[in-house]
Amino acid sequence: MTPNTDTIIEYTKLAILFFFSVSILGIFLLFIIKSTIHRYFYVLNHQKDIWSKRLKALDSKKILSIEPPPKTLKDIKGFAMAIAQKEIVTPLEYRRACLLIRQYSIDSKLVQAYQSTYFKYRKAFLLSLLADLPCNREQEFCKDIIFGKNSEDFYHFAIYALSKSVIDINEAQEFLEILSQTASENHLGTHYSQLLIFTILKHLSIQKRYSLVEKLLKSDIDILIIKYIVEALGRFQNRELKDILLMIYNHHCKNPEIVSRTIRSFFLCKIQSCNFIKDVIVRQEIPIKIVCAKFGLDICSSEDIFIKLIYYFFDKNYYVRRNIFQACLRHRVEQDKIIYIVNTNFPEKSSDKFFQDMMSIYDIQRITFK
Amino acid sequence: MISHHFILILLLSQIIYLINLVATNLTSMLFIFYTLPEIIVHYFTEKSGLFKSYIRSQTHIPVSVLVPAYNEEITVVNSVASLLNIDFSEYEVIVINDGSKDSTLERLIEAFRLYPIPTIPYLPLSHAPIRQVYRSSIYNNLTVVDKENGGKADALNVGINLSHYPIFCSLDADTILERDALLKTTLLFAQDKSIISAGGYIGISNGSSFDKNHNVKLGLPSTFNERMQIVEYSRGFLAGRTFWSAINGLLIVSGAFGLFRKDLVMKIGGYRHTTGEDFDLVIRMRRYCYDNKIPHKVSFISDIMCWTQAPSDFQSLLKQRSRWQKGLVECLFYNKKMIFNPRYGIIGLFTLPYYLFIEALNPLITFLGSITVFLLYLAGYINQDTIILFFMLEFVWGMALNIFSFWLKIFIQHSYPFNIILKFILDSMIEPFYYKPMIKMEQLIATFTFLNSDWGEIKRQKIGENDD
Repeated sequence: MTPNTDTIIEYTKLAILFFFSVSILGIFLLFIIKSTIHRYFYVLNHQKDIWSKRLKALDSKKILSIEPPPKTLKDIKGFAMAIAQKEIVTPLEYRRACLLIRQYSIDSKLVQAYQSTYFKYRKAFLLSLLADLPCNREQEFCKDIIFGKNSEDFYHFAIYALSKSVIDINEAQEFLEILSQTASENHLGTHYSQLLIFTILKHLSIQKRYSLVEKLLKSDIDILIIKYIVEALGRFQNRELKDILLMIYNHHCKNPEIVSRTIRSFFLCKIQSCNFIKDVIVRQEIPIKIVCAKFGLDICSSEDIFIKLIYYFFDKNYYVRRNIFQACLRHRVEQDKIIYIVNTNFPEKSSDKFFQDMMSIYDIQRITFK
Repeated sequence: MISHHFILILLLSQIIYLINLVATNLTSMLFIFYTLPEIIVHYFTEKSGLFKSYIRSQTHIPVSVLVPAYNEEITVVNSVASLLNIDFSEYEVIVINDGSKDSTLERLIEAFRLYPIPTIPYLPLSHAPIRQVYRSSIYNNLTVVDKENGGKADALNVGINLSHYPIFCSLDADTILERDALLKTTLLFAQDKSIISAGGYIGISNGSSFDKNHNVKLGLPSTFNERMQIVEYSRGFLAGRTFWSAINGLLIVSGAFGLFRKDLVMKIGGYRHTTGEDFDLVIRMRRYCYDNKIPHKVSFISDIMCWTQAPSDFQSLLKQRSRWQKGLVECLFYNKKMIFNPRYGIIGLFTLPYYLFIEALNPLITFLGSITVFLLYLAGYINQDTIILFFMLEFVWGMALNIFSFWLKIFIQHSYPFNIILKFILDSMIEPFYYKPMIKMEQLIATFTFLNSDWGEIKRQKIGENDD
């Protein structure tokens, strides 16, 4: 018996026609969406340019007042984009930008617009605008998103926006507590956490940073946050941060990760401290040895420390050996000097295979090392 | 006289063909519809100042860029030069000359003033012997390794061994990287530590030209094959990978541009010498994570990250597709235990079955289906309506999907002039009749010959050669 396929074919034909029509309709829809979005950004960029000019004109004036002020949502978005794009370097520029944002309630108007929109893309855009502002006072709104009270998943933007809202030590501490509570479940990476901490520390004076760290060390904050703080402090490349770094080190000297990060931050801040290196060079934990071999010479160049650092050539760990080799190259240490130190201080090690290999290529590497 | 059983078998194969056809087109539609809102959200947030802050804070993750090169004398200098001019502060470029027979190494030595340096031997991943390591006297962060030929996977293992940073980026030697590609991709790793690998959309550079700042002037590739590959990339890569990434089921991070966590790659023994080494690596990384209960994600950015040259002649194109198909079949074969295995979550239950039934078996099913349609028609068992039905399914729906995919591409890349768009739309209508059947045929042959995994050679053009 041959199966009667006529009915199936008719239905299938209808289905194909349906999907084909949907596809064609979709193409038109896509075309319309694309054109609308293009036009939307064209208008917005135009607005941004207008507000950029007005903000620039304001720079030379003492009074912070723009006429006419931003009223419509289009104005607010243009203003937000313009102020986010503005180069803010000095604390005065930062204060003026924050005053303007508060004066015209740019942050709260963006939040209102966010709350009244249904579309995810618009929410994402408005939140990104809020996060781009140099500062905001919308902490409760950001916390709602961070703790998942909002249906959309915009954790990264919300926590970044919250970091911009921090203005004093108490808020900074609260922010760090929120970060430690939520970072793990949101799989927040180390570098992003450092960026957030860098953002909150940026506008705090060195004295305030010191007080904040002091307060944190007395609290039971997650050790991970302390590690991020040490790393973030290094990014400021400021010698004046030495006291803060030493305070953290003294408090957490048993933690090898904190110690290794402190060494790196000492290097980044170009801090010289032979006492500190003397203290860490005797440590046997591998992460400490790896970083100490790499940056020890930068932090202390005294002869006795140098001899101790040279002993890293004979360490069991490959990265320790490689790092001291590269550190010597970077500091243009003469090969003869290294060999002399080894022969004098560690004669039993002078026949070490790795050391001999290193020395056989040392000179050519040193000449060409950039 | 055709037996009743034979007719039933033919009809059965027709049903399978029909199901496969509908499933293929439906999944393509699903990818496109699902992807569209994701792309729109991305479009609205891509200009966020987050990147600026990320750069300024100096907190970004340093990256080792690995560039395996085999007989790439035409493109390698331009590609490496472009790599040394990107928006990223801490990165190194390691070019691995995999025993090229042409003057790839000589070109590099001359262009970047390379000088030989001795190396510190620490080689946890095994590979073919290294002949010499070179460093550039112009660029501090450029290293070139000359080694004996061992294949792309082998070359990448050398690069991993010599790399210094926690994330490495594998890049083809004919690729032009977008200036902010590393920045955008490493931001993903920074935002989410469960990301083990990430890739981005790869644009086809044929017909376009680039200035020193990587600004692209989009042009129309001269051949139909090249234009069709642009449409194909939009459909398969942009829509497909964005979808799989959104549901955390992504299994392919293209070898042309992909970032990987080095520690994890080291743990699984680096790249394996397979035809689809990029696919194989991601599957093994995910398998390792599932087996060791490590939370993980593989991400895809629906933004152009780099530009690569697509094969311009048909022979090279067929060789490339044959290699892709062999790689796919090979990976599915080696990881067959993961298919339909709930232990491997979405990839076990959805992604791998999709690759098996919709991608790997599709050429075979299409081939058998097309033959049986005509056999049944000739024998009088199906009428003209049925033929039209298959025609509509296979070709008309396919055409619509092509055009749809192309619009998706225009969404992320805004500068095609109208006449070029029109040309693409016309090409998309021809594709199901000429381009697609040829590719399917090649894939069909590759399915049965996957054990013979020869890479073949693809003819290269100098980048920007088509400029006026």
